[in-house]
Amino acid sequence: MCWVCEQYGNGEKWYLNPENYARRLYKVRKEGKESTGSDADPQAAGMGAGVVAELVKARISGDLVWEEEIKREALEQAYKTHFGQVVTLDEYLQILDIAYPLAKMTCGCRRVQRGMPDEENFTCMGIGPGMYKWERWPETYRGGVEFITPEEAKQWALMNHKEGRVQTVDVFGTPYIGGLCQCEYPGCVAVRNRIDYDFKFLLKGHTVAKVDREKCTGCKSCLGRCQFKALNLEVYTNKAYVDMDQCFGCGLCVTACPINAIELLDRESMPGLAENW
Amino acid sequence: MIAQINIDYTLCKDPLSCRKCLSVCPSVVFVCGPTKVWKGRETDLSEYKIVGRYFDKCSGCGDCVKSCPTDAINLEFLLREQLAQKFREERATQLRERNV
Amino acid sequence: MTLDFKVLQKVKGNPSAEVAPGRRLKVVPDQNYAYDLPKELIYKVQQEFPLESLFNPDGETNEEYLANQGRTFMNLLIREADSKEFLDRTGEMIEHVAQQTGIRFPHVLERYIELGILSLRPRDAWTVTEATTKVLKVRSFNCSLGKVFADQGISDCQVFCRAANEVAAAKAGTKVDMTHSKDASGSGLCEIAFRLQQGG
Repeated sequence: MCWVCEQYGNGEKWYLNPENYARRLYKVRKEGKESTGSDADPQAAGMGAGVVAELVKARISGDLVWEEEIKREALEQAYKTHFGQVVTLDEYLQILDIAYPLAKMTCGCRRVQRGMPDEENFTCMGIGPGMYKWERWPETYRGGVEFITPEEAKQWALMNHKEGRVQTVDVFGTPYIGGLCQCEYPGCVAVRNRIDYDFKFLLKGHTVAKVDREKCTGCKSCLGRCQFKALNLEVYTNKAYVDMDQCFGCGLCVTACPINAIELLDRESMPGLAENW
Repeated sequence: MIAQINIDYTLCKDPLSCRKCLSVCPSVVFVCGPTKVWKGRETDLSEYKIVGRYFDKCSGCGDCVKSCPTDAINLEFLLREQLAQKFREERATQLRERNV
Repeated sequence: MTLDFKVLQKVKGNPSAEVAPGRRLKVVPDQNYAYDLPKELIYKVQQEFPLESLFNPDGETNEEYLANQGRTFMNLLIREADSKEFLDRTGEMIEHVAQQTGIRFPHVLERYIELGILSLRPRDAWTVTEATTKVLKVRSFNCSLGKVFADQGISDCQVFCRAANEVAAAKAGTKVDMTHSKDASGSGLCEIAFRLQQGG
């Protein structure tokens, strides 16, 4: 169990605890007018991107103390408010039974980083009671929303997984989970920042993939599935190689293997990886 | 060397619809984000702005410059050490101000 | 992983495509919706159903009386909450989504329960701890209504809430089983759980 489970899991994995998806629908209306608009920083667009500009500067300067300070302060804030974690497809399908309502929406990261039009990019999902008020934040839900049933959402999740996207849960006010993302490198800002700048806004999942070297035939079906730069072909032995230190446990390689030669293990069952979030 | 990505916003007016540089960049260097967020409506396309967010990843291939229909992008390259020096000074100023 | 290669081979479709025609909602430009509960609704409900009406002025406040008042209260609340004057955008969207998906539980019911709490005891602390398509749990802390009842020597305060909640469930079009648990140790915790009946 990760630190989030310890605080918000109620004895189980925190993202399988229904309490973290429930919220009141109503409060008493505040007097006075809401502001009509506000300035935004285009540089900060995308999930958890607020500190990228500073991080890039620190990286270039080579000042490690500076870089660590930026990350420490940003993460302290992020873990209280907005961060994400990788989950497996099995867990994701369980979540679709405890979170409601479920609304498909555009992936904001790929819109702002690749300019992808909504009709090719409806691969994100807003969940929970906050979605009934989606019109409050039109820019967040640019392109609209599409409310679907849990069964429709499960089929949709399988399509995303098949296409090769990583399932993640996203917190909006810890521990409330308000989003389910289908991420990929480098289009997903959270994945990009984790892989390229080691910014731990996105936590690794509770599982790790392991190749069974006896079974693997070197068919290469799994190559191209990893979004975390953790998988390649060991050419000299003709077997798939998973860098378990680098693995986020999403299971995309597992479901691509026609002979079940990659298994997902519980991270905590591996002493060498148990604290590697 | 490290790229300085200069964008002439008087020429680049509707980056999200155009999206040529976003689409062509082999290193996903650009981000096109809103400068305003409104209650009651989506951000107007004219309120979007392109920034070379991950300029440290720019290879200098120049595809963005070639593909830009309005010639709004200009790449300049500085020596890494020159830029590092500049950012270290920024950091020093930040620390000095903090200790005041 | 129970899901493997074989399962995925059978999966077809583009996740960005619309699940069904006409399902996708777009923002209506320059709208100015209101979402939360207006104070005026509280005033209106309390005017017609003042706290004193919990107690029988002409005799004993027995179970039957309390149940009747619970029903009266919830009918009044729903009439007002769904009226042209007070129906808010959250309520409209909840109903719209329920129409689109065919799923009314939990939120159509939850809305009535929440508005009931807010208009009867707007200063109380309470929260929703589970809201799935099968179970809804609402937890109250130191319910001020319970205190009013206790002051009048009525310990079985749940009669009122249960009768009100039954009306809410019926109006929401959801068949539910209800359980009430009040912590006897004096912590002030009271939890109401609604479970959707099979085929409800």
